[in-house]
Amino acid sequence: MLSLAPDRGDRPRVLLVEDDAAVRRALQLLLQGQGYDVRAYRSAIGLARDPEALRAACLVCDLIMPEKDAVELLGELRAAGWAGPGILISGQLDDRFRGQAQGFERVLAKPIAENLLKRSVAELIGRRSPPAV
Amino acid sequence: MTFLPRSFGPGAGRVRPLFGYLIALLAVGAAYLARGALTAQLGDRSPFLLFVLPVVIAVFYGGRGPGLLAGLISLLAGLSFVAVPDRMTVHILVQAALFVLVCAGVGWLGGRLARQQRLGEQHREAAEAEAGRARAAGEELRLLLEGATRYAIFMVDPEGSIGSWNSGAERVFGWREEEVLGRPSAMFTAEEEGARRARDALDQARAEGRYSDEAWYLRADGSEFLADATITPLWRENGVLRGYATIVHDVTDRRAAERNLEKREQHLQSILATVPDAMIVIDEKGIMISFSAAAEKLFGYSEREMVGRNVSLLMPSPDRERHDAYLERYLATGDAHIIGIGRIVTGLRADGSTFPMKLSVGEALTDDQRLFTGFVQDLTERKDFEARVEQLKSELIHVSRLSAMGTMASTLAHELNQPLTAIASYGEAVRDLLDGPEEVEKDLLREVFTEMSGQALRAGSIVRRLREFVARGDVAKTIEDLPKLIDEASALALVGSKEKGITPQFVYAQDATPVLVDRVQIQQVLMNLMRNAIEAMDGCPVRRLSVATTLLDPETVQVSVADTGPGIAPEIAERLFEAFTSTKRSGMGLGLSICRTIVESHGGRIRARPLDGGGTEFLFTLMRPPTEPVP
Repeated sequence: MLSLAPDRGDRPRVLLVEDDAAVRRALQLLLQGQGYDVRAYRSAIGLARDPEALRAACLVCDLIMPEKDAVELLGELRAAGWAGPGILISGQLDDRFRGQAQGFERVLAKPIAENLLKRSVAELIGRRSPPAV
Repeated sequence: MTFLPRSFGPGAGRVRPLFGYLIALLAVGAAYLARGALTAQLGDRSPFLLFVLPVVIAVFYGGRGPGLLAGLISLLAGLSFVAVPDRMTVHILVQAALFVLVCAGVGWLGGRLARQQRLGEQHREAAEAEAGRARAAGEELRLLLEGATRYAIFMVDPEGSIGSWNSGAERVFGWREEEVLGRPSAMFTAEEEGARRARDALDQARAEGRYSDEAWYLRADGSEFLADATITPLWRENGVLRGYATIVHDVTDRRAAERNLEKREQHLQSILATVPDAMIVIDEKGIMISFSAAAEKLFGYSEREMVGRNVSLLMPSPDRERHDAYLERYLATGDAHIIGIGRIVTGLRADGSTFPMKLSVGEALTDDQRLFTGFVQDLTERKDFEARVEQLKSELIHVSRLSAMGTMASTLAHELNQPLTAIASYGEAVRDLLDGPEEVEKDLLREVFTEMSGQALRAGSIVRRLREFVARGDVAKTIEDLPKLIDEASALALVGSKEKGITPQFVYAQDATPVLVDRVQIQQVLMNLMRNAIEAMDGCPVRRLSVATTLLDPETVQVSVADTGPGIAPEIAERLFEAFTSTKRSGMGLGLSICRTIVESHGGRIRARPLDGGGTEFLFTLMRPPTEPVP
């Protein structure tokens, strides 16, 4: 396997992990439209061992996924030395507590308010406005 | 090869002619010697047989010329082995003729062989050239495929396995060639869609000759991207499927940007659909680029009619003629009068009627052009409403002033009555004293007259108080642009005037501005005069309202409001500006008296004069601001 594909220069990379294809693809287009280099995955398996994934500036992750949940994934990423901010997206409101306790910076409820997600990512990546495409 | 050269026959003869003839002579010579050596055994039998050999050699080596030479010499040489008397016998002649026939056959065979050899040569050269071209084209194609780094280009065999993989594919998918060769192309589609999508795509390509779609693909690391994929089936000449050429291009960014734009566009459209204002976009020449639905409704033109035409047709004179110049001036000087400010102007509808409107203009500068977007707010209803309010207000002022004056008058009567009564009684008392028999004391008279003048002064102060009340003392003056002030007042005063057939005309002297006034009060004067003028012209054949400004002297500006009405009756003209004088049936006769009060409180004067050919002109003066700016 090659070290990864299209060259997107110094655009901040966002890891998106969501098992629902429709939601994942919509969010990928949304965030990529904001100028981020979005890496979207169906599953969290093996992500923490991918050096490319560890280059991400921000993680956006669904709480409940079949093989491995968001909290486990963040734990693995942290163990691999990744220190970036995480955004947890969840369909269940009482997940809010657990998510924050487990080190996510933000918890957003589904269905996701697009502007809220855009703003959250922009803030966490530390840009006042997202980079232009 | 044998002794034959690679190239022989006439071709070789042409290249080395002498060599061919030499061979011919040597071969014939050798045959002659051999025949000579065999004379003991053969005698004169078969004199020509041996000479077939040199002819064959000459033809093969030298071609037609040397062959012919060898034949002739051989014929003579052969004859030399026959006794002279026998040479003309039938037996020998038949042998000679057969020899010539064999030689001709050898020559023909040789020529044919040479031609075939030549053709073969040509074919071989053509085939080599063809192969060279094919090699070059193949190399070019390979470079092209490798150069297309943003396009994954790969071959899939009829069973769906990957057969080739370019460097673009390595970049797009993240897989190396050796990792994917022989694996199913379904490895790029998301798990939940399974291999079915890849299979369907190939089937569709085979059935329809081409498959093209946008779909989500998987990279080597499991991440997804949106791709534009094109699959073309490749056939062998015998109609057997060779495989599929597949081109995949990452379009996630493009699609994301497009969606972004679409959303913004939708947002903008929803805003524009919500704003009740009419919107008109023009270029820097004043040509309309777009004309919103609200604008269609407001002006009565369709967008189709308007696009491409000059926006000036939406305004009455004098703006209509001047709009191009306004634009040019703005482009040349950057001096904006409406752009970014907003102003009340008059619009012209398709049916010729005019209406007051608030115009706000924004400017957009793109790479290649400058656009102006105008938002138009119809003020007709608002102006109607405001006009009614103004009218009610001035009526109210009239009434309140009237009642105040009534109160004033009775108070005045009472107040004035006292000193007047006192004066009268003192006067009568003095007269009685003078009429009486007794000598009048000077001291007494002085006392009475002092008292009388005191009462007269008291009466005078009462009158002064009345005047002060009428003059309303306080005015808040500011420096105002006179044309703008008149425009605003006229937008209000001219509501409905178009329908009455009134032609307004405005002439502003450039130096007759600014002025130092209380804007609201002077606009009230202007409105009053203009509405009077419009009412006066009701039913007249010519209905022209002219408003003009002139500079009388460095401190004074004169404003004129003229009509083409019937004029003012002489008996009224003298008392025109006095209260309770009216030419109107329903008027209270306070309008002009208030105008005078206002103008005079501004330090100006107002008068009216009849115009030649009918009509009346009202003139009033205003003060220009002092040269030093007012703090």
